[in-house]
Amino acid sequence: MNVSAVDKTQQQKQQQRNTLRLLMYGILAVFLMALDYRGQYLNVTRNIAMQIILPLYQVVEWPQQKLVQLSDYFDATQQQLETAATLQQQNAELRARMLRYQALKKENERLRTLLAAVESTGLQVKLADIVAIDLDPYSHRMVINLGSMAGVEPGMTVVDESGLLGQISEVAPTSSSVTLISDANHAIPLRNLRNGLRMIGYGQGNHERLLIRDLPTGADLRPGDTLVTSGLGGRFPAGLLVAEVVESVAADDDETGHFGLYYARPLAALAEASQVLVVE
Amino acid sequence: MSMLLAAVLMIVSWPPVWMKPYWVALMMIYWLLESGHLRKLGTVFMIGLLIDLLVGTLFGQHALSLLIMAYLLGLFRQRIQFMSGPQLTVVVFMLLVNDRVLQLWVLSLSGTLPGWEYWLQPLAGAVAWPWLFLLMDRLRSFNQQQAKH
Repeated sequence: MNVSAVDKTQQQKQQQRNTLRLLMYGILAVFLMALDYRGQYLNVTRNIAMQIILPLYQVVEWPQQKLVQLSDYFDATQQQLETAATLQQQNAELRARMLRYQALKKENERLRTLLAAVESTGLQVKLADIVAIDLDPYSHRMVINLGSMAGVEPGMTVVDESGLLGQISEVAPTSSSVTLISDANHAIPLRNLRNGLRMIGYGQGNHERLLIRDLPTGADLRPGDTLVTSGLGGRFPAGLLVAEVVESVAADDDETGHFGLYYARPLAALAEASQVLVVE
Repeated sequence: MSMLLAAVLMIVSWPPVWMKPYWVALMMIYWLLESGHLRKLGTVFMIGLLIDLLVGTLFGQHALSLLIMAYLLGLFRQRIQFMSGPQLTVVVFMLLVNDRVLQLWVLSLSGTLPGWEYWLQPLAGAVAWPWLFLLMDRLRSFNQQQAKH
């Protein structure tokens, strides 16, 4: 477009129109954000759109995956041999341990039948890979490569080998997205393993910390205590490791001084997990 | 097409987050400066919403961010158009910093406070900008020649 040919007044008018449009779209954007943050109004829209987007994630990830495989391929053979040796050693060790474990398991079963206890609540799990997709680092979601075709459903629990990661939020045929327990909108019912004290852990938008509030100052909760899921609310199975209490701080917005604040560190590797288990 | 590619680059997990440029913004700035594409704020808004969906932020966060950048560019268009390469890079850097402040506001409203590496992103953008600019210019002149033949 030839700028010099455009009349000056017309240009000003154009600018004014743009300002108006900016205001209009800006207000719309803020409104949408408020709607998205405050309530669950946009969840349906997001769910539908995610059905289209989730497969796209996999398309984007594919070349990345191939690149990693290629670089792995060119890795020195020497290194591979070394790894093989250490792995063999580990395998032998693990097998030895397994023998002991099996003995214990048998003993356990015998005791159980003796006690006529209900069948142990064995958890059914599926192994899933995290798709190498960078979502916004502050949104606390991730994408895994299992979807409805593998029997994954919204609300299912996701763990790694050391603790609880989060729950499935959206599901497409071959992939789904997980909301982490550290998400600022996430809360989870917890129990102190030491004394059974119940509480709720709130996500803080920080991989390293959960907030526990609404506990009276005299509550028996100490740094080092382990917190597990309580199973209340029925979302998460009971007894999964979640976090370790790190410190207690005074609540600065609490004038009565009757309530304490506690911070806990999630046990699962929220930021660097690469393989996860989906619990059915 | 190039905007779609930039959108995809946003979710590719390389390089690490703190040195990953805001690709979509850079691509948008290029088109706004070099041609009449994307002049409509409505288009910019829709692209922003798409990015929000892709990277899982609040609906409207990136839309607002791109919107304000496009508006500022439109405001100073005459002045920016005749700037030299380095000057232009500085302008791009300032736009990106301004955008970080804006996004910080949105993030803090939703209860998340980012760490210090958050502020390195405009730097990454400024570093990537000249290369993107040159590459896009080459591609476009190549395309035009092809069209003539």
